[in-house]
Amino acid sequence: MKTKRTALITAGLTIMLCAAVIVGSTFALFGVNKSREVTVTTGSVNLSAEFDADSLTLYSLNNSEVAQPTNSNTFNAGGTATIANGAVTLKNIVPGDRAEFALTMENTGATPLRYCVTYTIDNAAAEDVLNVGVTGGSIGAWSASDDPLASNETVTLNISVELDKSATQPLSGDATITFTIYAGQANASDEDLNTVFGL
Amino acid sequence: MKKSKAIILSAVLALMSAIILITASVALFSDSVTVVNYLQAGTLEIGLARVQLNGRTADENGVLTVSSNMERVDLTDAQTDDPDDNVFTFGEQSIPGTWQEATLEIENRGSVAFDYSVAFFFAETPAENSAAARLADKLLVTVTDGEGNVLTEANTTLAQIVEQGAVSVGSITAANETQTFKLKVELPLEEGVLDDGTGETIMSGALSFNITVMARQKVS
Repeated sequence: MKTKRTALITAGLTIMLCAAVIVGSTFALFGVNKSREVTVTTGSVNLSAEFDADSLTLYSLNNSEVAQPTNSNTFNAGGTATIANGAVTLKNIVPGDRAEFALTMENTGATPLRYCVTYTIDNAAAEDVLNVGVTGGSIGAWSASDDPLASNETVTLNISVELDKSATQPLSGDATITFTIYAGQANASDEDLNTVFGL
Repeated sequence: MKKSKAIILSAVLALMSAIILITASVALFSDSVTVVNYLQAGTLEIGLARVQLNGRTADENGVLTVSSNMERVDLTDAQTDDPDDNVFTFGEQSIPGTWQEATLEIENRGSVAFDYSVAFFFAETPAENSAAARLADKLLVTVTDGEGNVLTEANTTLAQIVEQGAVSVGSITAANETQTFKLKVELPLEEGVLDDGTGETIMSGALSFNITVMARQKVS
């Protein structure tokens, strides 16, 4: 009787061990991994811009209605133009008075960029009679995509602000023209950049 | 009385005969033959190589340039310091519009059929609201099997695929069989990628992630 019980217990343990081996085998699947670490580092777009106050040149119309440099810090009729904090402020200017100055920009980032110069005028009455232009580029348009400003490269734009000759009245009060320069990566389209900056 | 003795003796003899018969039967039934089984475990071993790398990446001047590299790079062994010893070779100046697509070849170098998958892991979980975290939300990942089936949802980001876990790619059942599949990582040119002046930019960000190809023995 004792032998039979022992045999039964042994048989039971054997079955349990077999079951354990089967279950263990199910989870002990062969496997192998191959892994690589990848790093993505992004570049940057940075632009510095500065007005050259020393470059400020004032023009007024002579008797023949031809613009001539005044060679002073005032217009012929006594008006003035000053540059400060990224803005040009005009006072008491008359039709034909024009201020020219240089804007120098440098790509201080790591990737080529395109730029766009825009401006706002704080005097609503002046918006229709002030002509703002730039030589070597366009106001309100992105620089050419096929000629981006490379890293560490500089570009100088000559900006002019003139009270239109056809204006019938001198500018009433002061007018401050504030310039904003936007910069985006060189491969971006005009549409992408305008969307990003809300232009 | 003699008759009774004779009967008892006969019974005892009959019983003894029966015992002898049973013993003999048991002896016959308990005879055994030993069979020696020979079991050798198979091996699961894979080879992994990059066989093509196409892309548009920024050159040393930060200008995006399209390139195609057909050089075979064995990725089976541990990674070395060679920057090309990798699935992707993004440089230091990735900008929106950058992408790379690697064609990988997996080979059964063992004797066990297996299913394989690919998973992405962050080398280090990016800090919340960091440029790296924003980059993980911008990078798009595409997994394509050897038959051209795209296995990831459209516009799956790196952050999403890390969260999702392994993507099953295929099975290899024969020894020395090879299959190819493609992995693509892209930093798209889209709204919100450029610096909009809010300071929440992905510029000058760095993000490291692991790509792991996993093979598991085929079970069905």
